[in-house]
Amino acid sequence: MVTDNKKSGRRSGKARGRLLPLVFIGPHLILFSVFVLFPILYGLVISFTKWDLIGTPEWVGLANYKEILFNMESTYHKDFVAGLKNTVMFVALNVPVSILVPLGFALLLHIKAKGSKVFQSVYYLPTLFSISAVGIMWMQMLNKRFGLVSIFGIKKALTITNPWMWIMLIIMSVWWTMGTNMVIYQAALGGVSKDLYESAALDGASGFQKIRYIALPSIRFQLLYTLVITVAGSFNVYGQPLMLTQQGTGGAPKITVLIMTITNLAFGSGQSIAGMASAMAVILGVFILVVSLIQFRLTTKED
Amino acid sequence: MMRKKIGKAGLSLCMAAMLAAGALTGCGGSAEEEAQTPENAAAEDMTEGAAEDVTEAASGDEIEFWNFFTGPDGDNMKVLVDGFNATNPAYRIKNVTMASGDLYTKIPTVVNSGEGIPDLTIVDVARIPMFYEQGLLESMASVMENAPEVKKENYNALVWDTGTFDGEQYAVPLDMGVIGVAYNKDLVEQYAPGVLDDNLITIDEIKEIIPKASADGIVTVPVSFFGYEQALALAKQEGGDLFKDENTPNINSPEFTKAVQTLKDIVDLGGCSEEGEENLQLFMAGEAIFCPDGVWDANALNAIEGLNWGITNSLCYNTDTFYNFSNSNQFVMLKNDKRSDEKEKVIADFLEYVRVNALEWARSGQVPASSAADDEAEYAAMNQHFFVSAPEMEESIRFNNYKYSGYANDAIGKVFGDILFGHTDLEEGLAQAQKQAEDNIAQNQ
Repeated sequence: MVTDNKKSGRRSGKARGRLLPLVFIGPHLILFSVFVLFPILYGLVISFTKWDLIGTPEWVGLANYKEILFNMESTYHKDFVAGLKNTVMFVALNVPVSILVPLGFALLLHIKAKGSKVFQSVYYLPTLFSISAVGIMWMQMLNKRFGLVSIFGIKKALTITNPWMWIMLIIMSVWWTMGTNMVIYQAALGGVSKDLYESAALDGASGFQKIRYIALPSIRFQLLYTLVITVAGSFNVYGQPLMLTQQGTGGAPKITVLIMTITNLAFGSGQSIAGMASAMAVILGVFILVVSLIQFRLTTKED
Repeated sequence: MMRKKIGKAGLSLCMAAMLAAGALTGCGGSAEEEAQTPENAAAEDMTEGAAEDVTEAASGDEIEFWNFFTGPDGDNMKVLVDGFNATNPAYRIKNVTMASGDLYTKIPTVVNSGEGIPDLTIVDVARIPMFYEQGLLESMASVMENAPEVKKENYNALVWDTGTFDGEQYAVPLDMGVIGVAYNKDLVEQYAPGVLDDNLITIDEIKEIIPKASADGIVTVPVSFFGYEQALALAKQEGGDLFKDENTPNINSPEFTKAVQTLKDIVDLGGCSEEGEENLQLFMAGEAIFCPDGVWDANALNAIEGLNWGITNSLCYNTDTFYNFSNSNQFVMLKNDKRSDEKEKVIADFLEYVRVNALEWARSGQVPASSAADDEAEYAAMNQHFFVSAPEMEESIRFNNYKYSGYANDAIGKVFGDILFGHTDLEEGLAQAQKQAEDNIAQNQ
């Protein structure tokens, strides 16, 4: 009897042991399932339908994908290609700058000069603003007639003319988002042993060499992590070009990225074209997934 | 050791529980926050008595009223809601204000789930035929039965008709957001004396003004701002409509092509502002003689010290005929089995209250759809009263309210600026917009 109790106690203890991790990850799992996994699966299903979000969805199989990818005359194909082109352009321009600029600031702050905490807060602050506020601020600042730039005699519409609109878009994006990467790099740099720097100094290494051969290799994983999330985030760009590159109040943005096309299809002024929008979103998702996998693969290879 | 483990596990569990609870309260809180908008808070500050009423209302059943009056017009709507609630109705109005994009995104969600459907909603006139076709709208027959004065005779007839389908009323209009041409009286005196004697600005007159004004660095008329509505008005004068029939867009019609070409000519002659300008700011700064604009900007323009302005009809080819295109905010009831007859009676009382107190809504800058305030001296002194000051003005108002006008508006909006400023060929751009609208309509058939 006692043995049975012991056995069952051990069994229930084992069961508890098995269940305990679930308790820990449970809340996150629930939130992840409700807000991420289910919407992804739901979106995937919608992409095979014709649906206005109100009536009954009509199953159309791969028709939406065929239209987007292969019907050259279709508005959806043209919009998809144009949106993807601009999105890829944004990723190509934004990612290197969004890695290098915060890294530079993190290295500067790592010197811990007087007032570095204040600067850290100031650099991080824009990350807390909404994109609407950031967009309005930059639009006003870059207004050639009434804005800050007009004081310096700039008479060019910087937010709607090439190549300035791209340059301004990247500057604004980096200004807005650099805080997150900067903090990650700062934390990583803080974890690098001082002994390494001291040894290097004894060997006569210059400041640049210390960065090149000690700091950067030591924070390699953080750099790779931020590279992956910055690439994924950049593919999802929406608010920055929408706010900054409008042709005047209420005008269409000069730079149309893919998420804008998707949003306009699903939530434009007319009936929702949710099926087509979902199909575009799925294609974009696959694109991001492939790029992320390649990045991971390259990382693993180097390891 | 064991105690340490239990302690760590307990702490983790507490944190997990807090996370879950936080998430749940977060969900609950967000709904509360939506109802408690800054407009609500501002209006509560305005009258202490009303604030007490609002507090009492929280415990009773309410009529949930969704609207998108997030700007200063939200204060005027709050005054109307508070004024109505102060009459102690059986159900009090709960004023839920949100951005229009959020409102239109939420509607399919609540309708599909059948939960949280608002009792009363403000919808723009352009969406009403679409909502009617989608079967989202409840007839207003019961409301009109309970409030007999809520009838066509007491409203601008044209705007009233936008809510009529198959002889039945599905929307009650609140206002008309007419888009005309604002003008700077001092600059008109200087560069275009006598042009407004007939309240009409013809294209030929504009072309005559341009050289004089641009010589002084003054913009004649920034047609890139609300230029689409000017193009619609011009096309309408030539007999062109945006749709040939319910399902066929008419974007690349000769009439609309000519209208856009006319505006492009103004740009090419140097009468418009440069691309990307903040045109309303330009007008406010006294650097533009005319500016296409909606009446709702009246309060913003009034706030500019020294700006002596008025508003007149949209641009026209000649003085034989003219049109003014308009938006309109309208009250609708989304289909909801849970809405009781008693609630519909209170909704009727509220709409009657809004109809009678149209002057308060006129203070927001809009042209009230109800004619109750038309003869009020305070309203007559407002610039937007121009559009109800004579029968020909009232009859000139048109609404872009086709079943698929949303598609046409989006498609034209995408190319309009590029056509005006020469980045896209006119015919190519309009053909592209036509194709986009056709493709989108095909998705709904």
